[in-house]
Amino acid sequence: MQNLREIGSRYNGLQDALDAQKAALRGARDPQERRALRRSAAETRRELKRLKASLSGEALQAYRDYRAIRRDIRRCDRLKRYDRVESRIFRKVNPAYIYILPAAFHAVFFTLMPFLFMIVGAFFKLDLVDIKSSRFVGWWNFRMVLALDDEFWRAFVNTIIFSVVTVFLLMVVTVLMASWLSKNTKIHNLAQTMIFTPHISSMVAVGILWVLMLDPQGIINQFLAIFGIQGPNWLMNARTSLLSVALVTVWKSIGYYCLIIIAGLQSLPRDVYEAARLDKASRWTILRKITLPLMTPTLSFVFIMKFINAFKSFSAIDVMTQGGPQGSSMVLGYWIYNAGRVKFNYGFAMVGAIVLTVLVAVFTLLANKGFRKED
Amino acid sequence: MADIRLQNVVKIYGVSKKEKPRRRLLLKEKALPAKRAIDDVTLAIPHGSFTVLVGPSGCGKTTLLRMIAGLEEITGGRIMMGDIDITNLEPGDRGLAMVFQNYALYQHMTVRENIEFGLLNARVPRFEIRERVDHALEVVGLTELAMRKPARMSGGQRQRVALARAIAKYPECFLMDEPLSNLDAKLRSDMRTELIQLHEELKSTFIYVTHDQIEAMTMGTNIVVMNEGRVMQQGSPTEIHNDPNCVFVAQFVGDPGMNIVAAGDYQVGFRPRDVEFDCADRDEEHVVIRRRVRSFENHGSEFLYLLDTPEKVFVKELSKRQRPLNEPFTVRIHRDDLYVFGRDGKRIYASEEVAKAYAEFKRNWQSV
Repeated sequence: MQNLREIGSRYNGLQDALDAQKAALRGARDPQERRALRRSAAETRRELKRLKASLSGEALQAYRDYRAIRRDIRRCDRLKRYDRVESRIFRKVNPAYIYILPAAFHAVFFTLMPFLFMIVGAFFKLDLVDIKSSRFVGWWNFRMVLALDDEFWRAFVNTIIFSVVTVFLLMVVTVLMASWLSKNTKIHNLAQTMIFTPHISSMVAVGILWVLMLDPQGIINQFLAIFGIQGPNWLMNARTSLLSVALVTVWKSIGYYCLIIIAGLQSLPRDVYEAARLDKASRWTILRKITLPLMTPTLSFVFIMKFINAFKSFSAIDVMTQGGPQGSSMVLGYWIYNAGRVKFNYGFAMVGAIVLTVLVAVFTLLANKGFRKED
Repeated sequence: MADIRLQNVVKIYGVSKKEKPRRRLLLKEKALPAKRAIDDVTLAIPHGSFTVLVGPSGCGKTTLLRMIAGLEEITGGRIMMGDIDITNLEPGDRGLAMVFQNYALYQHMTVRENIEFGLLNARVPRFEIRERVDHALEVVGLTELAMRKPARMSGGQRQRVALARAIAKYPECFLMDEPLSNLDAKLRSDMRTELIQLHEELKSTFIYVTHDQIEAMTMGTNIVVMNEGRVMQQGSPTEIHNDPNCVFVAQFVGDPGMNIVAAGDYQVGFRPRDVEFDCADRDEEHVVIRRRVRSFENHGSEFLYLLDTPEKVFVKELSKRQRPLNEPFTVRIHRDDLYVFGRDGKRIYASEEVAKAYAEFKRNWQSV
C-alpha cells in the first residue's frame, strides 16, 4: 500500500518537473539555455520510462491509475480555460447574432439584393450580356406590360384561378384524408407513406408521368372509355389544360399538407374530445365545433403556404403545357420565365415579378388578418 | 332513487368490443396473465352520496370512473343506474357530467359557450339554456367572466368553469377525476370546502377520484378504497378509519397510516395517535413500550416520532414541546386500540384469536 502511494508521488514529482521544464523552455530565448533545458526534459522523460519499466502487476496498475488521474485533472483545467474564453466572448457579443449569421447572409445575398435588383431593373431596358449597354427607360416597361400586354393579364387571371382551384381542392381533400389517416395503425401508416411518396419525387418526373397518363389515348381516357365517356384531350384543350395541371399539382402536394394536418390533429388534447362526447356532441358537431376551430393555426398555415406555392407554380406548367395552348394555361411564374429567359426582355420579366410579389404580399396580409379575426 | 350499481365489472386492456366472439378463448389462453385493470368490482353507490374512490396511483380508480362515464369500454359485467342498464349507452346519454383533471375546456369558446355546448347538443330550448347557464355561473361565482376565454383565466377560475359546465347539465351524477390536483395548496383547500357546499346544495351523487387520502376523508360521505383493481373496503370515513378490514386500508388511511407489527402468526396494528405517553403502570389491559426516538417530524401543534424498533413504528404526540433525540420514553397502548390481522392481511374479529395475538404482541413488545 505504502509502496503504491510512493509510486504515485514519484510519478507526480517527475511529471511536475517535466511540466516546469516545458514551461521554462517556452519562456527561454537563449539557444544555449534552450539546448540545456531540452536535454534535461529528455532526461526526465527517460526517468519516467525507467520508472514504468521497473513496475509490474499491481504497481503497474497503480502507475496507470495515477497517470489517468493526472490526465483527467489536466483535461478539466483545459475545459475551464475554454469556458473562461467562451464566457468572455459571449458576454460581449449577444450569441443570437452568431446564430442568425448564416440565415442573415442567405437573406441578404439571395433574397434582399436580388429583390432590390429586380425593382431597379424594372426601370431599365436590361442587357445582361453587356450590362453597360442597358439604358434607363423610366415607366416604359410597366406601361408595356400592364397596359398593352394582353397575355400578361391573361396569365394574371389564370394564376388566381389556378391558385383558388388548387387550394380549395387541396383543403377539402387533405382535411378529409388527414382526419381519416390520423390513427396509428399499420394500415394507416402504410397509407400515409403512400400518400407522401409523390412529394419526394421531382415535379418534372411527376409531370412527365401525368403527360403520358393524360394523353388522348392515355390510361385515364381509356378508363373513362370503359364507361362510354369520351375523355377530352386534357392538356391540349384550351378549356381543360389549366384544370389538368391544377389537378396534378394537388395530387403531388396532398401528402405533404396531409402530414402537417395529421401532426396538428395528433397534438390536439384528448380529454377535450372526451368532454365533447359527454356533452353529447355527434361526430359532425365535433368536427365542426371542436376539431376545425382548434386546428385553425395549422389550417391557416397550410392555407397560406399552399396559396403562395400556387402563385409561384412554374415547373408543372413548364413540363406539361408550356403555358399553351394559346396561353390558356399561362400563369405568372411561367410568363416571367418566358419574358426573361425566352424572349430576353428582362425588364418585362422584372415588372411581372414585382406584380407577383405584390400579389403574394397583399394576399398573405389579407389571409393573416382574416384568420386573426376568427381567433 | 337512482343508485349506481356496478356488477362484476372487469376491465382487461387489449380486448376490444369487436373481439367479443373470441373473448372466451382469449380469456382462457392469452389474457389470463394479462393484468386486469379492474378485477371483478361490485359496488353500490347510493343516490346523493359524496363517494370518493381512493387508492394509490395505478389502482384502477380513474379507469373505473371512466367506465362509469362511458369513456372506457367494459370487458365484462354491467353498470346499472337505478333500473336502467347503462353499460352500452353513449357517454352523452347517461345523464352524467364529468370534471376532468386538466379541465378539458374548449379553448376556442368563451366561458358561456363552453357551458352552452352540451346543452345545445342535448337540444335544450334557448330560454332554458340561458337560465341554466346563468344559474351555473352564479353557483361558481363567475358571472362577470362569462364572455372571457379560458386561455385568459387562472387555474382556479378554469376549474370553476369546468364545474359550471357540469352543473348546467343538471346531471344525475357528477364524476370528478382528481379535479383539484392541478391547483396550489391554498386554492385546493378552498375548493374542497366549496365542493362540499356544492354537494349539499345540489343533493346529487358525486363520484370523486383522488389518490389523496386526506382529501377523501375530509370530503367523502362514502369512501371506496381500491387497490390493484379491486375494492378493498367501502364505508363512511369513520368506518374506514376506525374499523379497517385489512392491512392495506389500515396503512393507506391516516397520516401516517397504522403501525403494523408482526406477532407470531398474526399482524397487530395500532394508530400512532392511539397511545398514552409517559405512562409506565402495567396491567392486563395495556402494553407498555419503552423506546428511543430515532427521528421526528414537527407538525406544528403535534410531533411525530419514529421509534427505535426493528419495524417502523410511529407515534404522534399532541404537544408543543419536542422530545430530545435518542432519549428513551414510554408509550402505553390500550388493548382496545389494537387491531389484529391475519398473515394474508385480512382483519380478524374472532375473540379467542384476538386474545392469542394480543398475548403474542405483549410477549414481544412489553418492555417495562
